[in-house]
Amino acid sequence: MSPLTLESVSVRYSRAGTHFDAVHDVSFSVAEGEVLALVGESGSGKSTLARAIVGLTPISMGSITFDDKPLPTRGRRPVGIVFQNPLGSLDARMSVEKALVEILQVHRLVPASQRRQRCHELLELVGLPQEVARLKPGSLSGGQQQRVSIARAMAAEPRILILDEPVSALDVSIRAQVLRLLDDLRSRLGIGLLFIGHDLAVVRQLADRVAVLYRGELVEMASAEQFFASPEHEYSRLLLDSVPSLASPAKREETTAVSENGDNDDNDDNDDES
Amino acid sequence: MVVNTRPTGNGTRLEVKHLSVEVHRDTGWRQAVRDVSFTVESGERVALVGESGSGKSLTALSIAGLLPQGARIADGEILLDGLDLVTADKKTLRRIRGKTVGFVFQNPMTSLDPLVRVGSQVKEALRAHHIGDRKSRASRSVQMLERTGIHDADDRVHNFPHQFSGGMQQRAMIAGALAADPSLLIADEPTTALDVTVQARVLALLKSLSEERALSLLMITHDLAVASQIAERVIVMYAGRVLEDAPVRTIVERPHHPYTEALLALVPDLRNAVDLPAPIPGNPIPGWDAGSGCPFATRCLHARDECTDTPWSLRSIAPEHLSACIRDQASRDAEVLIR
Repeated sequence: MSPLTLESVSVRYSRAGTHFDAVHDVSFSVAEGEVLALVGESGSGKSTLARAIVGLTPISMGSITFDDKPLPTRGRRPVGIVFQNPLGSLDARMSVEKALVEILQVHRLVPASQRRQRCHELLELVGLPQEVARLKPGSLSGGQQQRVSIARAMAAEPRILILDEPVSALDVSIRAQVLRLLDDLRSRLGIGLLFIGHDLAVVRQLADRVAVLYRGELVEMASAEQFFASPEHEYSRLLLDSVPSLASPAKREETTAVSENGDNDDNDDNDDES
Repeated sequence: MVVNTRPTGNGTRLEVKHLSVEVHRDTGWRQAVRDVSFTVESGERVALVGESGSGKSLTALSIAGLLPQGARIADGEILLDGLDLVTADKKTLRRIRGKTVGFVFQNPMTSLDPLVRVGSQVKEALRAHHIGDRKSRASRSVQMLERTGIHDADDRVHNFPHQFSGGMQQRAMIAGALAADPSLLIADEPTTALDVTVQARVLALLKSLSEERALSLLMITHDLAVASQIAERVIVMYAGRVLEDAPVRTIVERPHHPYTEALLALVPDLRNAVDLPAPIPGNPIPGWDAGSGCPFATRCLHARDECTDTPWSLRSIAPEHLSACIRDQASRDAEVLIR
């Protein structure tokens, strides 16, 4: 079953009479219980697409549906989102409990009498001790902050969670903890994950399927096995070859004379890494 | 191509001895870097690897003489070609900075002046050190940008930084840092903000530049895989201390300290399907929260009482291999048997 479905989605930016598709004709679906990784570099349109799915950016063509129905914008939303920088999405002056209670209140998710109880359940769900409830984001570690962001996203009981570079800002030793949590949410609750990232090493550890976005277009969609063993698209191969590994130090020789188109971001409009 | 090639010098370029750095927190000065010692030989590429709070950047900034307000060198020596930078006067430091030591930082946009054309910024590096005349500085700045892989450099020198992509900005930074032909380049996470394909090219560029000019490179990174691509030697830092120092092959194939082992286990092998790696429990700690024993002991799977009781020290466990882990070979073998 594929509850989240994108069909021929385009996101167009217009400026001074010229149009530019940050996302062009993208179709895919995410099933419950699966991890689909959407990979691409800055300017590929991956974050634009993530924002479009949750309604933060309007789409100019195509459709985004959940169980064949348009996505609701209020109440129990079936698709949640977690951003890269947890401090950016948490109010520094608000305690963790207040931040969680607020979400429950705004979206009228549980009756007032049950909000505190639900808040404690959410903390438990993301593996945070209850003492954290009283604390403000600033006194939490990066990993704990990201857990709070995930708890906030889980408050609406989504069936699909979009994760926009959720571990890129975390220390390597903390990354694995958060990835474990996400994998755990998937297997325990059966939610689907749309994991957006540029770090193929992380994708390797988590994804069932991989979708590659290049300059706004989907250039490859394959099972993780297939993608990592024999990527089809030239750009996918370049991506894989570029990942530094411990096994093969610097095989690539510097070739300054060779054209380096990928280094020239001609489409600055499309730079969606903010 | 750059004509200016220096013959490979011999000997030690940089020697950091017992460096301690303090930072000011609300209750006073706290020790963030503790008793750090290492060397960088002439033409050698060394990576300083650690997570946030490990003290790697403070160490680099100390060498650069660029510690921010609220941080100070509390103890130790930093010898560059035998000259102690900690006690050197300002005039000497000004002469050395940028000329003998070049710097490249993580985010090029914080180092490049957005209002000054790229070529002028490279020229400024030369003018500040009274290198060449107006004309030769102009041609050298074009040459440097070309060498770092900027196409149509003679046109591009007239661009402002925002007209460059992230990778090109980082190349321009490298061009500026190398313009005065320094003998040591300190690069603090130079590729962290870049896309992976651009990162690969910038790493290859740094490597070839260092080989070509016998340039010593001290690269600061949180990523062991990146370190292993470029460095000949890796120094692993944690909580303001050095935990291991060895040639890159040794670090990758025969790591001694459990923290190094744990970091290595987190670097996935893309070719083979792997389960999620077991996370390192707990969080990284700042130097001032570490006791006198092994700072990693609280998170270490092998820790025993003596790990926290025995004062930290770096010991030679094999030629060119230093480790702060007190477990001896016998107990390591025994652990393997038990497992």
